Amino acid sequence: MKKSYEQFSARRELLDKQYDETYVQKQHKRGKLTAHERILLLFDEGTFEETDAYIPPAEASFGKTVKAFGDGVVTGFGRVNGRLVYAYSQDFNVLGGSLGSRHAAKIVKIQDMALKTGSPVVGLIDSGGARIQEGITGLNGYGDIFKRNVYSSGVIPQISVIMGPAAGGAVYSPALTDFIFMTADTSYMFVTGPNVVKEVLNETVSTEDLGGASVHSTKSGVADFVYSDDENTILGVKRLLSFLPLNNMENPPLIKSDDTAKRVEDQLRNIVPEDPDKPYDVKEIVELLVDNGDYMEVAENHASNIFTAFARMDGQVVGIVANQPKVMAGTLDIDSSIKGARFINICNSFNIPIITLEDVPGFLPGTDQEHDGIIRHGAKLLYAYTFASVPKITVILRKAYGGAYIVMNSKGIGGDFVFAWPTAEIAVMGPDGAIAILYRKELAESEDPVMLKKELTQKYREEVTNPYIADEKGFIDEVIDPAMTRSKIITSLKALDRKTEYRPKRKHGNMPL
Amino acid sequence: MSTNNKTLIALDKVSSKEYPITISGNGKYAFDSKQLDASIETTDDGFSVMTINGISYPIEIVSRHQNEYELLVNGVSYLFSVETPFSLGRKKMLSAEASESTTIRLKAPMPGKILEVLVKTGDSVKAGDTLLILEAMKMQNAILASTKGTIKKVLVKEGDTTSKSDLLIELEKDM
Amino acid sequence: MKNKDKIKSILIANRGEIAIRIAQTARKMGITPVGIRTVKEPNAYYLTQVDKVVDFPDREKNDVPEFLDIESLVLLAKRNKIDAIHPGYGYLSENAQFAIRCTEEGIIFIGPSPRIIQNMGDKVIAKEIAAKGKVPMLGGSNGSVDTLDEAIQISKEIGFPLIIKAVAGGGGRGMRIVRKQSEIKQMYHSASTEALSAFNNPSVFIEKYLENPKHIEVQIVADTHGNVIHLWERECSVQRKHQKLLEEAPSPALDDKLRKKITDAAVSLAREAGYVSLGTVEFLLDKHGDFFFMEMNTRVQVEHPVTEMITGLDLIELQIRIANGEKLPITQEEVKLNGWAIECRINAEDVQSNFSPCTGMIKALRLPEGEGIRVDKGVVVGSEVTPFFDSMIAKLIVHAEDRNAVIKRTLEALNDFQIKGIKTTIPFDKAVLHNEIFCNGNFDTSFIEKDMESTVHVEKDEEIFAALFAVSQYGKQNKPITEQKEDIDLWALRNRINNM
Repeated sequence: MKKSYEQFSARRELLDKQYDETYVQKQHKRGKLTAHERILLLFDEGTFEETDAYIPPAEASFGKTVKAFGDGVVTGFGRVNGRLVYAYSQDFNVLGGSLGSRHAAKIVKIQDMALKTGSPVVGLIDSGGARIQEGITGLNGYGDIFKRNVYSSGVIPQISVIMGPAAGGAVYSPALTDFIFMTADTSYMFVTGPNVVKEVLNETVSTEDLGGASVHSTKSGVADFVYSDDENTILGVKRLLSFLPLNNMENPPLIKSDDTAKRVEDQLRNIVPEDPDKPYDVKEIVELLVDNGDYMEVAENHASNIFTAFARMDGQVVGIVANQPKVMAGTLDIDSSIKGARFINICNSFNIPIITLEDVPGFLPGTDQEHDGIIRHGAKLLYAYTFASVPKITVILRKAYGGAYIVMNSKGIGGDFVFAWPTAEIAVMGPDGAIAILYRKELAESEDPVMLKKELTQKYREEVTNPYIADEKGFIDEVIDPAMTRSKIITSLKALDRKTEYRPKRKHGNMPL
Repeated sequence: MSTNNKTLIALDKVSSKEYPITISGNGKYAFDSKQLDASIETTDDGFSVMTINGISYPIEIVSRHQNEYELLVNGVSYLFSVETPFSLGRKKMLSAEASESTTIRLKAPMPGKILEVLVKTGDSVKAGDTLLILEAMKMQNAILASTKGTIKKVLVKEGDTTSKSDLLIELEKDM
Repeated sequence: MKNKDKIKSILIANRGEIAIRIAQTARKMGITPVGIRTVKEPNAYYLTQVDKVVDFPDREKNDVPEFLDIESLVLLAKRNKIDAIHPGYGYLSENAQFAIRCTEEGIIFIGPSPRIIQNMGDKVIAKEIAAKGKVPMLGGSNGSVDTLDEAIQISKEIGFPLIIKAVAGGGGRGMRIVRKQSEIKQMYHSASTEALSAFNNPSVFIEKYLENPKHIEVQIVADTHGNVIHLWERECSVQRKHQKLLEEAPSPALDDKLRKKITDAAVSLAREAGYVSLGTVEFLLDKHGDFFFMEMNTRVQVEHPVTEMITGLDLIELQIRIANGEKLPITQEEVKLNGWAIECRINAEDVQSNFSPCTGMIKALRLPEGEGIRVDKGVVVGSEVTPFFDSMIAKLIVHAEDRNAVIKRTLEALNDFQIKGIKTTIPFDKAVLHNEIFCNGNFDTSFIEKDMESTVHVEKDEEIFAALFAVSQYGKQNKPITEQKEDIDLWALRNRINNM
């Protein structure tokens, strides 16, 4: 063998030695896959190309410089279901996956290439945080990453997958990306850890209770998806990518299925109860509308009074936003407004039409909500809906009252098609409230107020809330047979396929934050 | 392509029994080294029927969530998660860790209304003590302490309505 | 004295399958069945099976369930000029006050007189009547037990185990078994609170508790002309927490001699009570063939169809005729005992998680058919099973020439009985009918807890079906995507660029 090749092979051998069986077992014993195993699961077989595999850590300014390859992160690109995707995967086994300057530079390189080529970036995060030994040099790396996160925002999809610790500054790169996945039991995210909380506030809290996957998928809403283990988490990432375009110039992939566009669903006539106070599960409706009943819900357990999901209709990707009458009667509150607004923004960025299924009694009343700023937060949802220029279709299933009706993609704010089911009730407010205001005196003087109220309610429903009035005024396009909803939506999507809508030029809009 | 075999394990979440199922390169299934020729058909009146090696049973998906499936076969319910050898190993490792935990989280077995809460934070209880009464379908169901311990947290109050699996009480096991 | 065709319309103060059952007989007799629509289930199936539907009236307060609201129901009947009210089972069927109010308003209450309901409903008076009729009984409190101290006192007299029962009770509610002194406080209170919420009356009484008896009941029919006959017995020992799940007629535990003794006792009690209408005398039967009076139910029972199957009689028709003042059309000697019948209650319950109620929509339904098979159902495809009502959605009743044949036929029928959308007790019923102890007849009320290894019947390799199905679904879900298109036309692209 030539001498030049000897050195080449020797280097390769040393690299392989770093990733030997003890290295693998160390990570497996934590219930986690290695950085490479994760990457290989993500990409189609044989397509992953690693970059900068041999880079060693930079010199420590404090303590000992460790010798290792890769500087605690695996970077590269490959194909996911045949499509080009860039990725990095932090390696907890090498320097605890800590972020040193070269580690950061490797990630930045990937981010730059992804942006240049218009390809998504997936970051698999399993890191102890900034590398203390490198001092401020390492820390500065976060700034470089954040900057690219922001520049790429709305241009290429960015997905963060938390598969181990993410603490301190490390949490803000995920926070700037489009989606956050977390692996249950073995991942956590927080700005300040339990030790600091204990010191400052004298509050004892476990890592899991402070920033585990369950906290972030329910209370904080930081995590959009939680899966039980590494493999399922990565399958989830692949599934999400199948709903997203590679960049903001392209369309999401069209995948035709054997489900027919004209499918008639009689069951849809039965799901919404006649009694307006009775709850039902809007997911049952979604299942019957979308291709093969298959959808991917976003932020399932956070602010569940609004349902957000990706699905396909006749092969075309749609984003579904639905009020969930099963939870808090489907009222809009601060959390659900923000969740809905964020989802709509993502759909608009990536050319995904928005289907709105509406059954909303109004905004949640109360001092808590008012004092915490429901006005400002509710406006986010309104802003997002209004600003979105992708096709927007609304189906009013039942209640559409007051301000909440306007917010939920009404004709007024730019809904392209607004349909209503015969069960729809569209009005300034529900019968109870309206009658209490309009007939206060009559009710007080009546001998049989219960009977009078019933008569007035009946009258109000007939003369005010029924969808045919809105239909005749043009605020809705058509009252439709629920069984035909799927084919109606698909026909409308096709009609809006080439929709063009200009917004005045501006640096950026001023969404009420 | 017989070398291209893949094994997935269906884990019965109730009995913890494992059913390793081999999928060969050509998409054929085998269990216990016996090949399973399976097909699923939908009847005109809306039922799904699964046939394996000539035997047919009605089958229904109650719910699916990621890799977990709640199914009815002949009306009998099964809760399975589909695992790879690695994810199963991880599961076992985590459950071994969890069994060392001392906090027991009692959840609502069914949707209903809290009729009465009989304990408060800090109370000592023994196994079988009634902690609260949950009313569903006009029947009173007593939620009992599963072990001797101390009440760590009571998350519901009288009159609350609960969904299935809502957390009701945290009980700290006495060592 | 009474006009033979006095009842021309019946208001059915009930819902579900029994409302439909009553409507069927009424229509057959040329009487108009009237159903009541409530806001809780305005589109219920039973409303499509009556000739006329009336809306439950609006009320100031909605704290009492509709079918327990005496005044609203009486008002409905009066307002719509309906001749009679049939209460079905449960709800107001054994409420003397309801019967009194009907009578006061000139509406025929289809059931016994208020006095009889009162007497039999008061378990203390009922026991006095039974004593006069020389019917054997278990020891216990003389009257209701109003304080915990009193309960403790009685427990000392009769010993443990004992049972605390609601004075106004029935159907297993407000009932607690006490096995030792330390339990009595909690059990007394919980029986009393449950009695209050279920029957609006917290009174309880105490009785010696017989371990693992059989539950045998005798169907009584008595007219206003002094005729009292029995229609044989039913065996209802397959119970869980005192709720019957599967019943049969006749009982495999009785020989002709014992059958005569027990039916004679029931008739004697009914005569002593001056009983009129349909009624059921419930007995506990111990291992030695000794039986003890438990209570008398003054209504039509859920399990009445098994009696109808073996006698060929329509019990609801008899009940209506008696209410009309007619004489019984048959004598005791004419009552046949033909073959064997089993009833399986199909409840919307998750047997595997402790029979907990299961709600949801019936998405598909397939019913068994054939000779000797009867299904009394309260739901159809599209029906919603809600937590507002009892979990029983249907009953499967099967009749054949003998016990072995009926077990076999019932199993076949259960295999054909399919419901999609909710979990039901069908797998449980199958497990009972496959059980050896059940098949040889040596079961008692402890059957479910003692003799059933599994509460559901599992077919061969069933779990492999489930496992394979899960794996195949998983494979489908994570299949690599091969066919995809990402084309975009220039018009749309120009828009995207212009909007930047």
